[in-house]
Amino acid sequence: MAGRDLTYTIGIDASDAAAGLRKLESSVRSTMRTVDDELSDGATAGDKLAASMDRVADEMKSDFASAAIAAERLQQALKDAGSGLNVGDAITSLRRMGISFDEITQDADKLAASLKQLDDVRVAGVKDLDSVAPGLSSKLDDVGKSADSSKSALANMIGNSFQTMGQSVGIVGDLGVGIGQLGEYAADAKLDGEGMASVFKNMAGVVGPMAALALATKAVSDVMGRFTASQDRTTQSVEMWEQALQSGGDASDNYADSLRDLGKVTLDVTREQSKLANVTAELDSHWYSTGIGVHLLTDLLGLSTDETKDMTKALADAGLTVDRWTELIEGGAPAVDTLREALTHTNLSADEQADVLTTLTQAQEDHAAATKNDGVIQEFFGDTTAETTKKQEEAERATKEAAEAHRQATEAAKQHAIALAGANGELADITSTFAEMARRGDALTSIFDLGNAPLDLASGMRDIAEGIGGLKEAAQGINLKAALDPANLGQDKLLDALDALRPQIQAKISEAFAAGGPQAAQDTAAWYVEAIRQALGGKLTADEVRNLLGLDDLTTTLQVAVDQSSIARAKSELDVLVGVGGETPFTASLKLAVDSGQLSGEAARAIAEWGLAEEGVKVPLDPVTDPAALAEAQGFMSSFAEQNPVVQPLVGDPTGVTDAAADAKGDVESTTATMPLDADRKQADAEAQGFVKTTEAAKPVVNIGASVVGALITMAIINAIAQQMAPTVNVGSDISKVLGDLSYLSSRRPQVPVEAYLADYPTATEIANRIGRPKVPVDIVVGSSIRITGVRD
Amino acid sequence: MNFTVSKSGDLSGIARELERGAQQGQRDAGKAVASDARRFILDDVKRSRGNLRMMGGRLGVKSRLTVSAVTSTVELYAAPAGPWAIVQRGTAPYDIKPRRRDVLAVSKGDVIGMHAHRRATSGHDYWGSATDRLDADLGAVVEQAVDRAIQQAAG
Repeated sequence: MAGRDLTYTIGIDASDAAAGLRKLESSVRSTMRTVDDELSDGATAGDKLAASMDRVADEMKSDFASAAIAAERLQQALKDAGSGLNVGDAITSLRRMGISFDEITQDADKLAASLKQLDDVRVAGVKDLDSVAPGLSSKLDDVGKSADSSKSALANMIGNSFQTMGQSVGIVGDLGVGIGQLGEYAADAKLDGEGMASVFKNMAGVVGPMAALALATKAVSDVMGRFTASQDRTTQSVEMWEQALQSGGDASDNYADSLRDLGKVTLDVTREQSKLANVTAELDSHWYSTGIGVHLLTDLLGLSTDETKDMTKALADAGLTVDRWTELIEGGAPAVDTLREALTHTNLSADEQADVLTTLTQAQEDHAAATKNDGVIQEFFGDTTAETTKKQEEAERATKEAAEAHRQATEAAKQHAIALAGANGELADITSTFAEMARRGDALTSIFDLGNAPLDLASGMRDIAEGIGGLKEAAQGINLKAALDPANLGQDKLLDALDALRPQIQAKISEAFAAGGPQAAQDTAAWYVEAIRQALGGKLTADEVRNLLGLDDLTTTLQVAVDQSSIARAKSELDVLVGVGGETPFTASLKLAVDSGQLSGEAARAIAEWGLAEEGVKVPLDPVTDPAALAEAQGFMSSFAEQNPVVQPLVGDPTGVTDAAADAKGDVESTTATMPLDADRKQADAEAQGFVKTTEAAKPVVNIGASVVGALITMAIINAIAQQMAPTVNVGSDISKVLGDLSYLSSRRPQVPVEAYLADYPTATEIANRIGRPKVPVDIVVGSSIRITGVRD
Repeated sequence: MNFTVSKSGDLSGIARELERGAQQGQRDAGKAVASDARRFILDDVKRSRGNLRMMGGRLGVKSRLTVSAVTSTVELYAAPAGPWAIVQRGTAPYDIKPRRRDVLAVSKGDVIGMHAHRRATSGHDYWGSATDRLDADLGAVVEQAVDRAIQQAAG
């Protein structure tokens, strides 16, 4: 014997536990998102993180409370029902079936009754199986004991293994309770390319008595396989008759032709042994209601394994032809009597005669089923021959046309969606353009203090040209130079005309500014000044006209307007940035700087747009290109960065060492252009909270993404939980024991190398001190375990 | 557990590192399980047989480990094969005949005889007995080993 033959294989499968942990992580992330939405703008990243953890803890607490109530209620209900089932096992099974704790609490009595019935059936089934395999029940008792003491999902699997047999014949509903455990395991194993026999072999390797159970299960599975094959044969036979009835012409001839094509007539032995026309459905109902199915199974286990018998020769020996056989099938009970009488005059043995009669009975059952089905079709279609065929063809054609129409509609919808997406993009740009125009117009209008003047005056004056034309008349006989003297009060008519005209022209200049910016405003103003100057006969200079129109310092005014519109736009973009990434100390500082005038609108806009670009937001319209504004923005960010203990790196330099050196020299310009503000802010917050510590103070320069710190902390929590849970959580064990296990927080401190340095995870105790006592959702406790298998070759 | 996080925004890189970390965790756990299970089997054989010596060597257990992110499979096999085969199955009786000399001799001049007869030995399924017991305690053995591996990984 070669040493290779002496092997023992241990399988450790933590996929369940991993799934549970993923669920926990998902829960944490989801909660963090919710908190992000709800917290006030002034909250720091640390506040949000803490709040999110609190939220998770609350949810876990709620889960445990629900679980405790459900466990208590179900335990009492099981006791009342006289069941000795372990409440932990029962809850595990129910949860795997997708029943919530609240539902368990609500329907505890019903569930307890069903569970007891299920357990009773299992016990009865074990005894019946033992009659087939002597000694099996005692071994199963050992299995039960092993299951009770097992700390793995196998406990439930073993307890429910008998229901697997029910599953193999399609039993669902209440009887399916508990099937999921082994079914899940078997499905996993099969997905891994393992056959069912191998699955059971693996199971058998876990505990000795399981081998006997596996054998019994295999035997029952074989019987179930025979049932399935028998059912398939019956279905084929019925379909043959249905086809004969529906193909038009003489159904008997059609069926006889089909038999000739088939070349043989068979007796379904399995079907006869079961004495059931529809073995699957009958077995299901009997098993469920009375347990007869178990007896039926045990009976069949000892019977012949021949599934069919070719009766062609016997029929020929009896002097039957295909046509006569077909007539007998259609003849019903009288035909059976006729054949029985006829067979007594043949040389067939008694057994052969019985088989021929049984074959006829089965064929008549199939004929009856086909006739019944055909009746349903006739009732629906009205005709089963040519018309039916025609209707079916029409239906098929209609189906194809509908499918094609659907495909075309789908394609059209797709194209429409693409066009709509493009249109939306254009619309967004246009909307943004109008928004910018509105901001500019509002700014200059505000500076001119126009209020509603343009609108008010619009009704009194058709257009500015008319007003300008009126100036000539108003200026007649007036010394225009004197009119500019404020002390000269005798020129009311001209001044009134100018007063009426001024807001109109300012409004036009504002419109031009809004639409085309400062240059357009200047051009518009120049045009009106020249028009007025000419209207007044050139007696006033352009500057004097500007003075009269309140446009004497238009360049400065427009600059202020530009700045105000930039501030408005910067604030708008800051709002978007906060909406995307959340309010941080940096964005708050930025807002305050803009409001207090410490930072120009253009510089604030530049910073906001950098931040938006960092978040992946498309920034429309013109970017800030004014060098002065960019320098101001960089100066502000440098100033802010100096107050931040975390050194900011450049994107594209993974180590950041070069930038650190540059920073040390005071050359901060390079660090401000692309630094991931939010990430470092969160890093700083996390450090301030004591969640992440760098082992080399102030030295590490790490390009760490915004979400990475949060992910690390989440992972730290998960790891802390996993350290305790993965090896020790007792699936299906007493929930109170699990709750006790969760007082696990220890002083272990895993380290995470993050490129240039090691980030220390928080210890579980530190997490506990910060957020209280994190708990594992019961779903994870109950549903997560490592699955251990052992196979000896 | 060690996780190496790559640079900002490289989510696929982070995912790869996480998977690598998970595989390393499985490998650590698998090694611990292999070590404990090997010790369990050899201890059991030693208790039953008295010692592990055989043919001038020792009966041993070798292992092969296969891991994924969430599973690890530990294959234990008896080694070296020859001594294990003799221990497990025994030997048939056979004669010892000198091939290059005329007689059997312990040393020069000390003749034993022209030939010798080696009696049959009976085998005993030590491997089967040990792995049966391991089956019974497998859950506890694996849990202890995995727990120890995780504690070591966590520092």
